[in-house]
Amino acid sequence: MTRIPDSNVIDVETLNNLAEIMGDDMRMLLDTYIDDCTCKVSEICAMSLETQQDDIFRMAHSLKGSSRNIGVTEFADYCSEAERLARAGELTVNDFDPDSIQLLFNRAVSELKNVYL
Amino acid sequence: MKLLIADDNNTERLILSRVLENLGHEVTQAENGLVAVEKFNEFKPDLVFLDVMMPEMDGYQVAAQIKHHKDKSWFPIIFLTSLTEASDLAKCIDVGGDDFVSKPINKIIIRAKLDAFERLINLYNTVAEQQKEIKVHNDHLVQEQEAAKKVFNNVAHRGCLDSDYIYYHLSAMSIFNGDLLLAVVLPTGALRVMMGDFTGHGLPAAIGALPTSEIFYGMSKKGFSLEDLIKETNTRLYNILPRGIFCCCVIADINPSDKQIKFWSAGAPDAYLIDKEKEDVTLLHSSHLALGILSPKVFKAKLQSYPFTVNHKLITATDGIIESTDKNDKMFGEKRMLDYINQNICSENICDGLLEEVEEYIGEAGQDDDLSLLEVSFPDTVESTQLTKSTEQNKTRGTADLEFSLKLRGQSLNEFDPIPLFLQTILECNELLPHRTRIFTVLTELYNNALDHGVLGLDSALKSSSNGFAEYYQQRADGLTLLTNDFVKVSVDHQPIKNGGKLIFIIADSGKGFDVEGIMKRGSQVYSGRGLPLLLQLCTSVDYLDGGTKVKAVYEWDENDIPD
Repeated sequence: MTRIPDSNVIDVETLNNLAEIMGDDMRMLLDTYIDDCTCKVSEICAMSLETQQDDIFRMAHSLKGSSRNIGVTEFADYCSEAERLARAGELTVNDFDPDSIQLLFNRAVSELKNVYL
Repeated sequence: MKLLIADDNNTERLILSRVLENLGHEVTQAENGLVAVEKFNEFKPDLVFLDVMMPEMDGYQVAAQIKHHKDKSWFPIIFLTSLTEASDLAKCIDVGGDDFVSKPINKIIIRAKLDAFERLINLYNTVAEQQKEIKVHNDHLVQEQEAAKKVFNNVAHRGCLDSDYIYYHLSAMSIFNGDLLLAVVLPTGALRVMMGDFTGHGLPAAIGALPTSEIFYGMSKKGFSLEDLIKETNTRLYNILPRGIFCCCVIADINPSDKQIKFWSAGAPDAYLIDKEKEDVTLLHSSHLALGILSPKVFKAKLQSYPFTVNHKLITATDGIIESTDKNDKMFGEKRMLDYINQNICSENICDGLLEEVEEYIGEAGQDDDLSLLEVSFPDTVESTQLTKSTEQNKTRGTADLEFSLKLRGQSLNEFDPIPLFLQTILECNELLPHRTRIFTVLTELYNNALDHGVLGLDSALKSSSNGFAEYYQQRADGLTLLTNDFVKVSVDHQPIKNGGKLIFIIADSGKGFDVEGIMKRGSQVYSGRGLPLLLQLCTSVDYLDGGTKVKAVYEWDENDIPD
């Protein structure tokens, strides 16, 4: 790592453990994560709270899962909460809006790039 | 191991894949449910990791499809899930999953679970292999049993059990549990029956029946006495049966001319001697250890004799009847059996009725059908020609022209019966086979006269009373043990004549002789049962010489004149 990331955004220990597992393919993994989630974030931002609670639930679940694995904790927590509420059909704009999610994701990517890429 | 990972999340799939490869496993990936099923069929993994939420087909559906694949032996499915609700986790197991791991994955937990499942897979494969082996062995066993049954049926055949004066029950099940029923007509015209019960069940029990039945038919055909048969059977079984296997049995000779039954029971339940006229049942107890237990050196067979007329019947059963139980495990018992016989004493066929009674008693308790039962009435329709319908194809003239003799002295008179030896030698001339019964009768009559009346000096008038038989045979047995210098010499001279032959029997004994002329004048009813008239009927001539201590009987036969 070139610098220690912001611990609010990224969990260093998870990232280190992952680096041990992936070895030389750590960059490839991070590229895959960033590419995958960039698409998914775009998709989720375009979904309607009124009619697509179920779709939002699934997408948030997926985003949360990947992010947890990488150690992107702040973003993962946000997606987790959105997933929980959307599953019950109770997600509102207070808990979930495209701007917030985009912001958090961008922050996470930025930290990752600073650390590894 | 070969592992399949199905997860639509690229990141997660990549990480898990790398963790598993680092542990040394071979990994295939699927990005949705449909691909998962395809890859499963193609790759045939040893274990499958399934994400629950996938597009096209979710994890539950995939599990349901692949779990019972007919071409794949058992394999574990581990669900990958970040769902935490108990109901969600339980559903993983319900659809056929064997375990679940929560996301994000922990490589230590993954490794531990893989190790555990690998042990399980090995265990399963071992069991499957052993099951195959067991099936092969089982198939062999069944084949061997079938072969054994065929041999058994050919050797231990029923003899004359289907005669009019015999009722019996013997099932395939009871045969294979060691029960045996044999019946044969002796050359004398007497009936010999045997009921045996070998210890144990199945093949080990049934196999003892083979030598037993060979000896029974072989020796009876040659005219061996009941004592000799019993001794030989015990010797053979003693030598060949393993420890703990023996034969409980009842054997009897029923002689219609003597109107007498000679009975021997070893380890068997009581047999029943019925007198229909007096409406009386005598219990005949076992008085010896079962066959195959005592060494031949110490084995003795002491027969019991009783009168047996048209009014008599013998019933014998193996312990299956008495030991049949009802649904409360209560036995049928000896008392019930005796009561039934007493109540039906004059019935023509007690056997069938008794079996129905037992079956009703057992009721729904179900039965092993280990019931063997024999009921013998007076054999007045004995077919003494049975034995002449032999399968011997090679007709040889063998001993058509011979002369031989045998002199038995002292205790050999007690210990050896020469009749079967003589008979066998004479009948090597196969053309004499139809004459077997007559020759046997002549030989036996002459020899017994020489031994009983000549050497032992017994009075056959004793045999005419009902207790007399027992007394006569007791005196005979006692007298035989005291012999030292006495002898009986038997000579046989077989000469061919045109179209047949002439058998000359000369029997000499060391007795005092008798008043030949006097007896002849009185018409001689002196001798046992049949007496001289029978000999004169069967032989061309009978002459007493040397003061009655020697007899010469001539039997002429013609090949064109077959006795019926």
